[in-house]
Amino acid sequence: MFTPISSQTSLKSYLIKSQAYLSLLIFLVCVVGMTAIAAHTFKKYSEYNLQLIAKALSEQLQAAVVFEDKRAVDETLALFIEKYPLESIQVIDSNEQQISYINDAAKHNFYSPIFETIQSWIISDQAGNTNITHNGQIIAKIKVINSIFPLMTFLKQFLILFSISVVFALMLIAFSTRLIYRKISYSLDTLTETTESVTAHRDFDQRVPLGHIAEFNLISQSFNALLDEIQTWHTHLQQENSHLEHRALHDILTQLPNRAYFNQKLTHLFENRDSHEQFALLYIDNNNFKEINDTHGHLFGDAVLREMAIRLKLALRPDDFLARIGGDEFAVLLFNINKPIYAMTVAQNLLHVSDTPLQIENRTIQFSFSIGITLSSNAKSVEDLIHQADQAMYQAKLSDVQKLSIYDHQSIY
Amino acid sequence: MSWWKSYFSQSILLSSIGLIPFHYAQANTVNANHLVSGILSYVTWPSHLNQINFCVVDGTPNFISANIFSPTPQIIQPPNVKFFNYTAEQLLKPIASNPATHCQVFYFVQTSDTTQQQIINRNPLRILTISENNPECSIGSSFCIYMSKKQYKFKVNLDSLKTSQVRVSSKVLLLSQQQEEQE
Repeated sequence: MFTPISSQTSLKSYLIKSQAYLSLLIFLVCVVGMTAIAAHTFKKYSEYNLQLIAKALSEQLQAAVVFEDKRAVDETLALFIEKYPLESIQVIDSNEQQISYINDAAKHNFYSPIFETIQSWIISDQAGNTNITHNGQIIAKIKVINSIFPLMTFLKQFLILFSISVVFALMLIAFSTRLIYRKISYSLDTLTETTESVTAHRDFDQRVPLGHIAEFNLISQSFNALLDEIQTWHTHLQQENSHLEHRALHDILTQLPNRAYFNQKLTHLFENRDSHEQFALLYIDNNNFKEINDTHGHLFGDAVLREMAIRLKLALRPDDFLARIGGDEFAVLLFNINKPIYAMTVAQNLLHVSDTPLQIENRTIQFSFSIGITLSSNAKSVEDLIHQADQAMYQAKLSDVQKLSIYDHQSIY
Repeated sequence: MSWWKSYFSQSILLSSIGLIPFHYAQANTVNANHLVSGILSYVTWPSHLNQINFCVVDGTPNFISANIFSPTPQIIQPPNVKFFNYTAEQLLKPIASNPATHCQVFYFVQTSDTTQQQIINRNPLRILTISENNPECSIGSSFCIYMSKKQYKFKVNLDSLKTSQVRVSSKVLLLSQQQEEQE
């Protein structure tokens, strides 16, 4: 991951912040709205309820007031204050003389003044007032005052429900923020991952997968197009490179590995050699190449070399390494040669390659070569090995019987 | 007037033994005006009626004042009540010679409950009957005013009320029942 620079704001925190501001705004609007609606509903219901109680009371009290039965009035009031959430009831006759008054002191507590104040804001004073009428005459007035208990209960429930809603809303907001962030983050992450992977492994085959967000998909597509371009260019470059590499390591005439390649291979092989697995190095030199060149010209010389390369290649095992290391000099690396006799056998096979003369442009050209052999177990270094092979080859050249010599340090020194 | 006498005699008697309760001294307990006007107010009179003829039988009312209907309390509909005075003998006469057929209310002062019943049987229906002298209230008047614990109260004779076919609000009946339960 690219670590974000500290002064930059991360997308996630930006998203969360913006969502938080938005949520707070909505929340405040909801709080104001909900409180207003709740207060209004509470007011309407309370006033309606109070009026209803007052009306019912006036019906109940009518006869008692008409017959001036104070006891019946008192009892009815006691019954009502016990049954309904009322703080006090007052009955006044038409001459403003109090007939009866009752209040419930038990419904008072420490917080009463606060709630009474709130209640006085919400509920109209007139809500609990009504007249007792009889045959169209106002015979008395009733004033009913609501208890604060309904308000307390209402506020309690309102606060609880409100808190639950707030917690729920916050959870929803957090969830939705996370969801949105995840979608955006998916697009960004795939882009980042692909970029990193391409950078780290030069794996231009990769493409950014498409996500859910159109804008990011556009970026991804552009990036993919860029990757396409880079890949094409990269492939072309690689081909060019391998071509150049091939040319650097191969001989143009015979298409065999050249001296540089041979040296590289030999060094590698020698450095990683195994005590159980030896290899043999063969030096092959054409005996009469200068003569052929002089007699038939360079073109013929080249043709001889090409033919020689083909024949030698065919006479070898597919794994063996044949290289042209000089004008008419070839070198062979034979693998898995544990005994000199094996190398000798291979070398003898190679000598038979020159049994058939070359037929080039209806000319028969005789040719022959000498082979010097050495085994990797004899040498202490690559130079040593090359030197030994060279020595053996000169030895073979000097021999008249068999143009083949295996390096043996005793025979040299 | 006799109700004054009655009031004074009672007051003197009670004060002599030191038992005048506070509320009894209040003006609203000295007579049963509010009971009578209350009962009248809860009766549904025929709509064409514009005057209630209040016929006092056998004497002067003791429980209500003479000026109870002057002016007539507005709760009574129609708000126009007029006093008449008759005797039981007059009301027991056959319809033809009965001078009290115009009455809407019979207010019995001293008439016995059996005589009350006879009068009710002899006279037309739809007459509200109230008595001062019928504490049992088992026969005779529909409404019986009486004195209990220094307060005027009333009982309702439901059979009599039903027979009379006078329409009275159930509130009155409930209140009278309530009063009886309190005792």
